[in-house]
Amino acid sequence: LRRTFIVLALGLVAMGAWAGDDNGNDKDPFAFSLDVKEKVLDNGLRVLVAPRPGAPRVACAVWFRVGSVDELPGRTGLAHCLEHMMFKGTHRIGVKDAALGDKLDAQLDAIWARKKGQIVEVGSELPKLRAQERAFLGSCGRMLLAGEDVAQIASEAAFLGTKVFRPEDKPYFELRETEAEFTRLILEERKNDRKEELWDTYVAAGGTNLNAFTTEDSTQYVVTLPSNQLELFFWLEADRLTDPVFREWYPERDVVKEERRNDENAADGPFYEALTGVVFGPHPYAHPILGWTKDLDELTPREAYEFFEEHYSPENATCVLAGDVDPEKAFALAARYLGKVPKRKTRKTLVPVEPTCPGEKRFQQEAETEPRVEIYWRAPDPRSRENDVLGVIATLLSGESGRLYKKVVEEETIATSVDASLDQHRYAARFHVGARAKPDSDLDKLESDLDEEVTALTTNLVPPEELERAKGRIAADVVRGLEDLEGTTERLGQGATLYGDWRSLVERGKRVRSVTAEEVRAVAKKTFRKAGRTVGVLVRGPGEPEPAEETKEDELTPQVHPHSSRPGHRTGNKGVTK
Amino acid sequence: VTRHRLFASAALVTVFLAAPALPEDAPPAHPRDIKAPALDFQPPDPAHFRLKLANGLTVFLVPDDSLPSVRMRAYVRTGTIYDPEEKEGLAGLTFATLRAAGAGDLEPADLEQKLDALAASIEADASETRATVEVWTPSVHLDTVLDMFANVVMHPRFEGERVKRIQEDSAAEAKNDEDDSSVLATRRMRGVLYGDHPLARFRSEETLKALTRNDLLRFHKKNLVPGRVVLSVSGRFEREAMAAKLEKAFGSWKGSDEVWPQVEDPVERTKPAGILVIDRPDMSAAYIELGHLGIKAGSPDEAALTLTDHIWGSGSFTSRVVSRIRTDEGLAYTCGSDFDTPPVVSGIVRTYMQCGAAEASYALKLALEEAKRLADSGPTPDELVAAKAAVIGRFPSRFTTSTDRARALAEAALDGLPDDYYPRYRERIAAVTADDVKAAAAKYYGMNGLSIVVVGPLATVRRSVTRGTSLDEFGTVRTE
Repeated sequence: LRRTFIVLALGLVAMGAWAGDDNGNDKDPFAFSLDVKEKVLDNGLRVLVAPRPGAPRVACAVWFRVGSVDELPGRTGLAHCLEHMMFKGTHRIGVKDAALGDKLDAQLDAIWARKKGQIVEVGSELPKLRAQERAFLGSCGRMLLAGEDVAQIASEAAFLGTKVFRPEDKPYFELRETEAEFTRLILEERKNDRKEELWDTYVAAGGTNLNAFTTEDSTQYVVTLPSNQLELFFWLEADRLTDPVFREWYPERDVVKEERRNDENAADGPFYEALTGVVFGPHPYAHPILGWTKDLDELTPREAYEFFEEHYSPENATCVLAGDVDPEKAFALAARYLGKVPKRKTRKTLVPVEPTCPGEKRFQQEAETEPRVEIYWRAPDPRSRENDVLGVIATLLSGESGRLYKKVVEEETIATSVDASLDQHRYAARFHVGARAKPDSDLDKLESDLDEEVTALTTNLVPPEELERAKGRIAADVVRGLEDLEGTTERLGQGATLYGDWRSLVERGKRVRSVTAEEVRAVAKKTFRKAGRTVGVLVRGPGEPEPAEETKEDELTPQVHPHSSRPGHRTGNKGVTK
Repeated sequence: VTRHRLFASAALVTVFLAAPALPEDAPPAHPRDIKAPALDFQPPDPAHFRLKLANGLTVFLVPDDSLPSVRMRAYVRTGTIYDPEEKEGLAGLTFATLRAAGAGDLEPADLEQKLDALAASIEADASETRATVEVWTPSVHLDTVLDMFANVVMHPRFEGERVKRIQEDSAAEAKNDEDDSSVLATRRMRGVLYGDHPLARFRSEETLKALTRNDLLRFHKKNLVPGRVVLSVSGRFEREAMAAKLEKAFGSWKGSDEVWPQVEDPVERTKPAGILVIDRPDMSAAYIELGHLGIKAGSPDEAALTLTDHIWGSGSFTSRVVSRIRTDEGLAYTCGSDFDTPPVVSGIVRTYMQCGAAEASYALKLALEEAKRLADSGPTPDELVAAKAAVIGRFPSRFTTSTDRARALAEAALDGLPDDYYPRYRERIAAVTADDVKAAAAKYYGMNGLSIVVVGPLATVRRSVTRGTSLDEFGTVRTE
């Protein structure tokens, strides 16, 4: 239906600035052809191959239609945790003695469960007892250097420090022994691992851009390789999709928690986290991709294996290759390796429905950073024509020649920067405008200025030249995005994963050519209503820091630090949280 | 010949006989059993892509019809290294305003809007020993945008109001330049290694505020001359037509033909430079940098240093310092190494790590132990093989797209590297021996000439009670 509409609309295109080049020729200045071959393997895994001229390199990616939106309450952060764990290896990669590894993992899980139970048993006395132990160690000059010492010291303490520790503190010492055992096992597992074998194998093969990203809606694993190493890529990826082993779970989970702390420490981190909650309400997009710390503490490999079973089935995956690659050869290799990945019983995420809201939602918070105003409206399905039109509207408003910049930065000089964007999601897109205020600006005035510019679009028709310019910027963005191999796989993968069609992003420029000023006005009218929108205001101020909710449980165990954060790793965070 | 033919027909027969009955052969049990086909790659020959304009401007043209756009980047042999004393920040401000403050007949806002209307962009930027003006345009608007580009390079307006705004923003930004401990440490490292040198002087709020429009005009006139520019051009165009367009756009441009004004090289130290601690009492972590004066572009040590750096700290999780500090001891979340190869002046070979403040002296001790071990015993055969495979394997990635190729060629020319620099690169890497790595480790990671900078809470970083180590064991500690 949509296609028919576009074809009809094409007949009505007004000839604007984009209808001609410098020499007055009449054609789409952004026309290009991208050769993409597509094949679905027997197990449902989709393979896209885009041969591109150039050096013998191939950008490789495996995309999954799973992200934080697919997480259940109490298990937030699982999609991202799992992404980290996918680098830990299999029964063939990342381990010296696989059977021993499995045994250690099982023991660790059991001890972890025991530890959890003992913490409950010790109860609210725990922080006090930990402090006592620390004081005791200080008083007898003992330093806790290795895991093996803990049980010893605990019994010494029990023996010597009768004034400090009472018989009823026994559960605490049992807990401490469990913790020592836990640490010992982690160190033993580490000895049995082949650290980062997957990563180092790719590096030694000439791999670059090695990484993985988790967003609200998708997870992707990427590497760019010499084109003669394509079989290596399929081998390693099929291996980890068939038989992943989440060893080193507990230390790696600490890496993930560290990532989350960095977010919390950003001056505007808590503001965006809370604002996202208001914007999405009970919808799963409301929770952070990195998860709630409390949930992270509770996650075990069991939940991760379950999540893997439910979401990493081949039919939920798209493999994308771009570069010096022959599609037929790539399909044959893909069938030989990825084609053998077993289907799994998937759990379909119930499409969450957003509750309606009779009015505007407002949110305000203090932080020691630039004051700002952010407004979010609900936007239509990313696959719809209306969504394309909103893309044009975002372009009209954003950038240094856009309407918002001219108004609040240049004319009123009350803001330092502006932003207008369409935040795309599988289940709930948002249209967003925002501005950062100059130090003494009136934030009410800033908000009403933003509002005014947006409202103007609901009544006045956009002048043809301005409209054509915006469409040109969108088409140019598409071309720019395809200039390197990694950009190409990113756009094809995102199109296939989020929108169900690899063409959706690469043909966006072509589609918006037919958008008319009347359509812009109609979609603006439909979108920019007060009901259901969210306004977030950040006011400069100290805020009121709450006391920390929990004490760190492993405070007294020797440092078994995470060692595996990957260089350059980032969490793709493409939603409303910045 | 006969034998070959015999072999070929025998193989053919086997295939015919066996093919129908042959079960699908099982994939290799381990990735090391995969036989990767040979990789056929030759880096581009600079002579084939080079074009010299009549006024001395060097251009590399790499046509590529696949997308309807053209990318150009003017590389300029200048940068903060030519900032006059007490005018630090001049190169940065000149390039930040080059396009942004208008050019030719166009006022700043007009130029911006015109570019925006064509969906094109022109952006300029300067770093220490390189400045760039970068252009992206839909190929249909090439003529118009090329004209604007030429004006930006040759006739910037430095319009007063806009310059003032950017100058104020930069001055405000400069106040926070040293908030980041890694930036702070890198700056102090420069100070120790370079001494009194333009690259050890940095922009500040005061120097930026003192700059005038005349300073910008003078800097532009002196530094932006055809002989100091190398241009990379890639995308949808025909070579001959583009050559003519460039000659027309830049033909009138004249200026001195000085290529790189000489800058004195810092004096190499032979003794350890000691430890500089920058006291940040409120920090809970310590940021540590170890540095040596390194090499210039085209140095004969480049191949050995590339592999040594890979084995030492940049290659992977199993590299020496990362594996010891992070993997084995769990001391640092961030840990690694790098080196740069600027033209005109030697770069810095650097090792960096961030760890808990109380562990700083212990982490340093381990790093120095590892450095000594590498210098004493050299790499293992496996390490050297893996490092060579990685460096040689990723080499073609510098030439992946037409833009990569044009830029790689321009960058080599800019830094004065010979035409056989790329063609012989892999050969040079392959020729490095374990002894070369050993020697490079001693020279660039050893105690001689070593400078250490630590940012963190002085009281905590100075010594570790639990580890029984102290910074003072490793050199004279100075504080700031």
